[in-house]
This record gives sequence, structure tokens and C-alpha cells, in this order.
Amino acid sequence: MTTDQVIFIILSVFTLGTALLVVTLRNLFHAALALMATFLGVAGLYVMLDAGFLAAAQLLVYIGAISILLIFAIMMTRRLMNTTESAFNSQGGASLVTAVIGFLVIAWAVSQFSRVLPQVVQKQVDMKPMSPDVIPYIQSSVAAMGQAFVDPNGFVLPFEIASVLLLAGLIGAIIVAWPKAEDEES
Amino acid sequence: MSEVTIEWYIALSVVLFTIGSLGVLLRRNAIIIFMSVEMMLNSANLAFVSFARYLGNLDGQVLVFFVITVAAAEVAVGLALIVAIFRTKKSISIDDLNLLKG
Amino acid sequence: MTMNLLVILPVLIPLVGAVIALLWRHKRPLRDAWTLAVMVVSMLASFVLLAAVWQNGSPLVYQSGGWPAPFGISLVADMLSALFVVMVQVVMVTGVIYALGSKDTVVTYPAFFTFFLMLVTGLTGTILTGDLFNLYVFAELLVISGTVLTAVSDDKFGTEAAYKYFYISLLASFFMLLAVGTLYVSYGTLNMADLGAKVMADGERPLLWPGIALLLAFFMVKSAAVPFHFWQPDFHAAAPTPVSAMLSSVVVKLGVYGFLRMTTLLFVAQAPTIRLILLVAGVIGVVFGGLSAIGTHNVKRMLAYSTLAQVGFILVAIGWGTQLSIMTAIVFAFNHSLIKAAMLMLAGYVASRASVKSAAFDIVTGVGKPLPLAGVLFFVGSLALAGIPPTNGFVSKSLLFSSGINSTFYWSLLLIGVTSIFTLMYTIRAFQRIWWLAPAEGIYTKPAGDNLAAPVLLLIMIVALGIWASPLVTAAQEASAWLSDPSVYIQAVLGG
Repeated sequence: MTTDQVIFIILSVFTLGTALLVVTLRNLFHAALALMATFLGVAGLYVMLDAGFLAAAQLLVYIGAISILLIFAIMMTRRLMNTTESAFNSQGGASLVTAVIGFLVIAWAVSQFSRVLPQVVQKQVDMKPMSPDVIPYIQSSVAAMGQAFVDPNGFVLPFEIASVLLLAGLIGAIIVAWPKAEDEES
Repeated sequence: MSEVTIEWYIALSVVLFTIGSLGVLLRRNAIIIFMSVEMMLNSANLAFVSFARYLGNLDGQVLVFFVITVAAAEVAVGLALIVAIFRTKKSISIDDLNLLKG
Repeated sequence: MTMNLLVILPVLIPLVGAVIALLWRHKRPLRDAWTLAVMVVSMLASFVLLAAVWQNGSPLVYQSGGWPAPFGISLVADMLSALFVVMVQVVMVTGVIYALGSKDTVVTYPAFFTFFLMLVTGLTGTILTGDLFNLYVFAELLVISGTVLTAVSDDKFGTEAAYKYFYISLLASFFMLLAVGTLYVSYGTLNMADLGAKVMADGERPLLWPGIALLLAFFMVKSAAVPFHFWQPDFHAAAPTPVSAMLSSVVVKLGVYGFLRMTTLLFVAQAPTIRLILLVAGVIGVVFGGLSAIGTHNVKRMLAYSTLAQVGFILVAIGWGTQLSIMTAIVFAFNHSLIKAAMLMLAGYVASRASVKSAAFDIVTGVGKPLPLAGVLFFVGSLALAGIPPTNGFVSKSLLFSSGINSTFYWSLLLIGVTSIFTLMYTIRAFQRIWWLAPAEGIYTKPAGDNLAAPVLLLIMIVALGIWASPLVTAAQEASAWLSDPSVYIQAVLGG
């Protein structure tokens, strides 16, 4: 086994383990912490995939912002933390079957990849981290992405729409969570 | 097989997706369901990044960046909804969201 | 090149208008006037776009930077998308007019019209974009603004309905993301014209069918088609009236647009299978929607179920797949948008005059007695919904029957013939209850309520398009002729 494989296996065990904790833990606060760990594991995988910028974005947005929002929401609804009813809903069997079928379908679809990929790739990049092909790819990654965002030939339209989307999310959240007049009276 | 190939990443992404979907299907707390959804989005992102790495272009990474942005906006709205519901019903269990039946 | 700039205007005007409306959020008269002006200008731009596309004789493409596709973003207006954009913007203008005259507290929220304009941007953008990933981003904008507009509704179920909508939309987003992923990894492109050409040239690759299924599921959620319909009546019934009138009329047409694009551009060779699925989903929707509408106890819910049935008719028309039936689907979609928006506004108007603000039959029974004008409008709207002349609904229904006779699916024709009677049953029943029966004890009619200007405008259009149907039908005919040859779209985008 190579070092890469060892690192990959450690990262995946960490990611999947914490993900399982999120789904099973009873305490909401602990689940949120486990989710932060899952996000961290995924960020590590991004680094392994030479997507350093995305790893940073993952840390900033998911761990820095989204997890904090989640913890805020948990604290605002904390009266439920010590509930005695079961944490799971009453449709366990059906859900398990659905999830297993879903897993099998996706696994089947994924197993087709090896047949698909060679057809698409004209110049296939070797997955080895330091092959000569890849070095410029890594170096140019951040700059090229930055250019792609604002380049009229790249993604400038979705970039603008996404910024408006963030604005909409922000204002929307304030409006929705703002107490209505009748709530305060009661 | 000596290196980490794309199949490894895709397999990991599929398992993560399934764990997330189990959380959505099994839990009754709205916030946990929300966390599981975020986990599923992460697994989709992971798949995109590995495609991009494999195809040797940046498109996949750019797409992931947008997905992260969209997810941030969605989280803000979704959590605000959960808090608003909690304020009126004093519960965030999805079993209590049955006012609209019929 | 200047002509091609027209394509971006119907998206850009409401987008900029939405952000600027935020600056004037506390000056209500200014904000209201601004919103209306923005919407009217945007609607005029979409009419100009339609005329330009028609005159041009081939799709107009806004290609940023002047680079050839598939590089660079593209907004594409062919007859189909231009016509749908006109439909969206006309109905949205009446929605703004209704909101301006509405007594709901929700319209007094500083950001209400900002989100309304974002809804317009999202919907117009999804229809005009030539790129699947941009479609995803625009659809998310649509979802977030729709969720917020519903969550702040006066209706006490608003938040909960918004929550359900939010989750079903998250599900749809997953479908879309995974579809984007599978198609991207199979064909290496997300540009719709390029993808259509590649699918045709390269044949079926292993992940094509999962991609098609996911994309189909995405559009089915968006159009609330069976089996993804369960959220729709809750959501549409609990949203504020001006919003639910938009959601149930034009926003569901996004799915219709998507199905038309899928069967005529993206997956032409695979279209027969897709059509069969749509046909079955449509027939189930027609029957289920019609029966459920009869059994409801709330006018708005009844109309939401009616949307399920009417979208079912459109899916059946797409499912037949002839050029005539595709034209029918376009005309039907256009007419239904006007009718359903008008009917929901009238239901909201009646609710606003009821002693308790609600559209439940218990509350609104007899409320209509002092409101003869609304009664006449509702009656004409019912005729239109059921497809009786002299309304545009008759044009839709007669086209539907003639295209059904032309295709070979007689059983579905028979079925929708029978279910058309349901429509008349439930609309007339609602009319009878509101305007005929005596009100129950303690139910009275308030002296003031919402403004009737918007439904009057819509009803005028409904009757005008019933008597003078040829402009719409000719435009739809042109659109379906363009759709019958995917290379029209592909060549306009990719060149040569």
C-alpha cells in the first residue's frame, strides 16, 4: 500500500464514521459537532484531489458558516434537547428498504463509470499527484478558477445569479425568522 | 492497483450519500434531517471534484463552488423556516407537521 | 448583435429591479410604482423579443464575449422560450397589480416585491438559458424566492407549507445535480444544444438513461406531475393570493417547458419512451386531480388540484408527440396560465371579503351574494377552465381533441373527455356555493377587500383569446414547427 492509499483510507474512515454518528446520535449538539468533522474529512479529500481552493471554501463556508448557523438553530430550539420520545420516526423498515434500493441503483450506475470515462476523456490526466501533466494544473487552479468566475466566456452569469441568490437567502432568512406581530402579542 | 483511483472516491461518495439519505428517511428531528441533506450535498460535491480531477479541467470545481454557494443560501432559509415553525409549534419533529392533511 | 442583446433583457430587468427595489424598501409608494414599472418594461421587452425572434426566423442567441458555443454562456430564445417568457411576464404583471391592491399584510413587508421580482428572474432565466447548470442555479433562485414568499403568508399554515416545498425542492435539486453530473461525465458538456447534438451523434452511453430519469424527475417535481404532486395543493393553497396565483399558473409551466425541451432537443432519439411516461403520468394526473378537486373543502385547494388535472392534459398532449399536439400543449399551457391565475385571484378576493380570511367553503358560502362582478368573472373563468366557448379554454380543448384524434392514443382521448366533465362539476359547485347558497349563521361579507383590477384584466385576455385566437395559435404553430427539427436550435447556438 502506498502512502496515498493509507491517507485516503484514514480520511474515508474518519468521514464515514462521523457521518454515521450524525445520523445516529441522539444529542443534537453532538450531531452538529460530528457533522463538522465530516465536513473536515471531505475538505481533506478535496486536498487529496488537488482542489486546495475548494478545500478552503469548504472550511470557510461549511465549517465556518453553515455549522455555526446549525448550532445557532439548535440553541434557539434547545428545549427539545432532552426529549424522551424516540429520535427515529416510525417508518424504519420502509426507509431502510428505500435506502438500500437507492444504494444499489446508484452503485449500479457508478459501476458503469469505467465504461463511460475513456469515451469522454481526450487527454486523460493521470491520477498520480505529481505527474508532469498535473503540476501546472495545480498551480493554475486558483487563478484559473478566479478567472473563470468573472470571465464573460466562463461563468459570469451564474456567478452574478449566485450572488443574488446569496442575497435572497440572507434577506429571506431574516424575513422568515423575524417574529410576526401576532407572535409577540401572545 | 497501486494508487488511489477515481473509483475509490466515487465509491466513498456513494456510501456517504446513502448514509445521508438514511438520516433523511429515518430521523424525525428537522435539524438532523437538514444536516443529512447537507451531507448528501457534500457527497455530490466530492463526486464532482473527482470527475474534474479525472477529466483534467476545472469545470467540475467551478460547479462545486456554485453548489456550495447555493447550499449556503439554502441553509439560511431552511434554518430560518425551522426556527419560525418552532416558534409557533414549539416542536421541530416532522411528525407534528400534519396541519395540512386533507 | 444588438438584436441578440434583447434575449438577456427579460432576465436582467427584473433582476436589477429586484435589487434596486430593496433600496426603496421603506418608501412604499415609490417601491410599488417602481415594481410595477419594472414588470411592465420587462413584459414589453419580452414582447419585443418574441417579435424579433419571429421576424428573425431562427433562434436568437445571446453569446457572451462573442465566443462560439459550447464555450461561454448562452441564453437562447427560440419561439418556444420566447412565447413562454411572454406568458410568464404577462401573468406576473397581473400578479404585481393584484399584490398592489391586496389587503394582505404580507405585501407590506419591505422585501416582498424584491422576492416577487426574483421569482420572475428565476423563472424567466430557467426558460431562456441554454445551459443545464445555469438552469439549476436559476431554479434555485426560483425556489428560494417562492419559499420566502410563502413562509411569510398571512395563512397560519404558510410556514409549514413553505417547509414542505423547501424539502421537495431540495429533493428536486438533488435530481438535477445528479443529472448534471451523469450527463456531464458521459458527454463532457452541459450546453443544451451541444448536449443534444452529442447525444444524437454519439448514441446512448451507459449513463444516459439515469441522466434522463433524473432530469425527468426534476421537471416532474417542478410541474407537480404525478407521482411528485403531493406537496402542491398544500403549498399553493397556503401561499399568499398573489403568490399562489403565480405558482399555480406559470411556475408549474417550467416543468412543461422542460418536457418539451427534453423530447425535442436533448433526447430526440429517446423521446418515445419519455413521451410514454409523460402520457401515463398525465392521464393519472387528470383523473386524480379531477376527483380530488371535487372532494376538497377549500376553493384555493380545489383550484390547486385543478392545476394537477390541467397540467395532466398538457402532459398528455406532449405525450402524443405529434407536431399538432405539441402546438396544442403550448396553446394549452398559455391559456391555462391566464385562467388559473384569474381563478386563484378571484378565490383570494372572495376570501379577503369573507368575515374570516379563509377560502374554506364553510366560510365563503354565500359570501359572494353582494359581489356580482366577481361572480360574473368567476363564472366566465369556470367556463374557460372547463373549455366552453367563447373563452380561450374552448380553443385549448378543441385543439386537444383534434390532435388526439390525429394520434393513435384513443383510450387517453376518451379518458380526458370524460374527466373534462369533472372540471365543470367542481367549478360550478364552487360557484353555486359562493354566489347562490345562503350564508351560514354569523358569516357576513366585509365591505372592502382586495382589488379586482388584475382578474378583470386577465378575464378580458381570456375572452379576447377565445374570440380572436389566431395570433396565439399561429405563434404556437410556428414554435412547434421549429421544435420538430432540433437542428434549428442546435445550429443557432453552435453555428454552421
